[in-house]
Amino acid sequence: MNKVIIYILLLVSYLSLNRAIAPDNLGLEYIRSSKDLEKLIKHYPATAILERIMTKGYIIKTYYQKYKIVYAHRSPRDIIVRTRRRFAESSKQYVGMSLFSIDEDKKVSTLAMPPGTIFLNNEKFGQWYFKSSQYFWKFYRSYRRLPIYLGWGSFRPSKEFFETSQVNKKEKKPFMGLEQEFGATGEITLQFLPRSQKNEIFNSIKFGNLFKKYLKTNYN
Amino acid sequence: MEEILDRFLIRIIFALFCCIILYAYKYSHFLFYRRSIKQVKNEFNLLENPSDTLHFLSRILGLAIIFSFVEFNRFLSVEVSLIHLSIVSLTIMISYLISLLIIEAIVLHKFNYRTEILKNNNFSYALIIFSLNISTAFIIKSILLHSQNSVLIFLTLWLFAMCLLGLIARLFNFYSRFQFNRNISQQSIGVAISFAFYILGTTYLLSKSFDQPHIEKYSYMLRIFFKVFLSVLIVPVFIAAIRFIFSLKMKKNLVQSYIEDKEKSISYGLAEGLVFLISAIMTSWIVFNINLTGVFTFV
Repeated sequence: MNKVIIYILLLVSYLSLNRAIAPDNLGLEYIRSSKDLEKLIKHYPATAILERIMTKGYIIKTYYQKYKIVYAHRSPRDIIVRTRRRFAESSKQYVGMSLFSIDEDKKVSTLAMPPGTIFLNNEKFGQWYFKSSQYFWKFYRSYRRLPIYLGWGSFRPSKEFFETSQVNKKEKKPFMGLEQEFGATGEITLQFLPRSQKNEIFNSIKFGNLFKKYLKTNYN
Repeated sequence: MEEILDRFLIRIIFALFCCIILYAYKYSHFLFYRRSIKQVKNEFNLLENPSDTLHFLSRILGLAIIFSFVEFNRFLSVEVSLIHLSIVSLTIMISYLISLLIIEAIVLHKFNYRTEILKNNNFSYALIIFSLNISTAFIIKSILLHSQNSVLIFLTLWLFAMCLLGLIARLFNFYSRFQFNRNISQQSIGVAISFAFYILGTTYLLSKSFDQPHIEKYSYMLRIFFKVFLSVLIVPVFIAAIRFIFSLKMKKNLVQSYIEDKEKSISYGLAEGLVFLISAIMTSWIVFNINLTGVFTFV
């Protein structure tokens, strides 16, 4: 009995020491929701775009999220955070969208919005220009790289786009674009995500297919 | 033909240089291992005292094991390589002899070479010294392989390894039913056999622990520590599993009598030692051959 108790104590101390000081477990912040990104983003205005969600582990899964933090006045940076399962599952549909924004007045928004919405209609960053019977947003020369960082491609938000986003913001509803062009299955998001990632989006492993592939590779 | 003769001559030169190194090793005992100075001072009679023979020759064997790590891949000149070999061999000799002093002080602090070997001809003591010498040699060899030719890294890892090896050797009392000090003084061979297999198994695990990514020395040492800790957790699982699966039984009422008896203790020592060695090798497969890091699945 004593040996069993000693073994259990050793096991508990191994797990707790590993969690606390093992080099492989250090360096990654943990967030419960997108609101916790506030402690990681030190400069503003900025927006955090959810690039991908990963899991690690076979029996007990750990969830990670990769964000691209786009600043107005600095180069963007990528961060990977550990998160809880519920938040990771709920944010699956919002890949490619901004889950956290902080404006110049340090006002935080955690509503899922198309990336860069925080910079729209702000005279410090750009202006509306009239083309093809609509107003479109254009950044000033100093911020001309922002559309690249935000993953817009050739997309330029119209005034209608902006107004609809503000209505959704007031109603506290996520906004995925006028034609659902943002989000996990949105056209612009799919262009923005790296090609390898688009092909690897899958939810479960089919063992039958894996076994057939194994046989084909090794016993052809 | 000239090339073949040239290569052969270079190997002979290196073999002769190794003999010079062995000669230097013999006299380094005067500085670093004075307790058994009698072995190197005068002629050594191999047949007089088998315990003393084992005690002495195991140290030479240990040096040879450590030397097996030295490699020459880019051979620039004979002189440069000989200088490199002399510096490395000096480091090996000094570190090995000091390591033996330290490990003997930790494990066999209640015993004395003169009393046990010269007076009592205690073969059990000699066998334990043999196993300690060989295990220390393997540990130093692993450290030299991973120290990346840096003296600082070597010294840091050497100190760390000595602490771990000493701790592991002291843990023998938790595993074995032998009363270590008492059975050695009774010259029981069984305890020596059990300890020899135990220390060889743990040395195998410890030397494999050094094979980690060399990123930063403190995180490297932490990784070694956690691998050793994990091995400590998994070895008992295999010991219990092997005993259960193969129905290995030892009648409880007979165990004590087997431990006390000098000749019967050999069978008990073999049983205990071999089960541990098998478990250690199986544990090394689980801990070191299964790489679970860095596999992400996209959601």
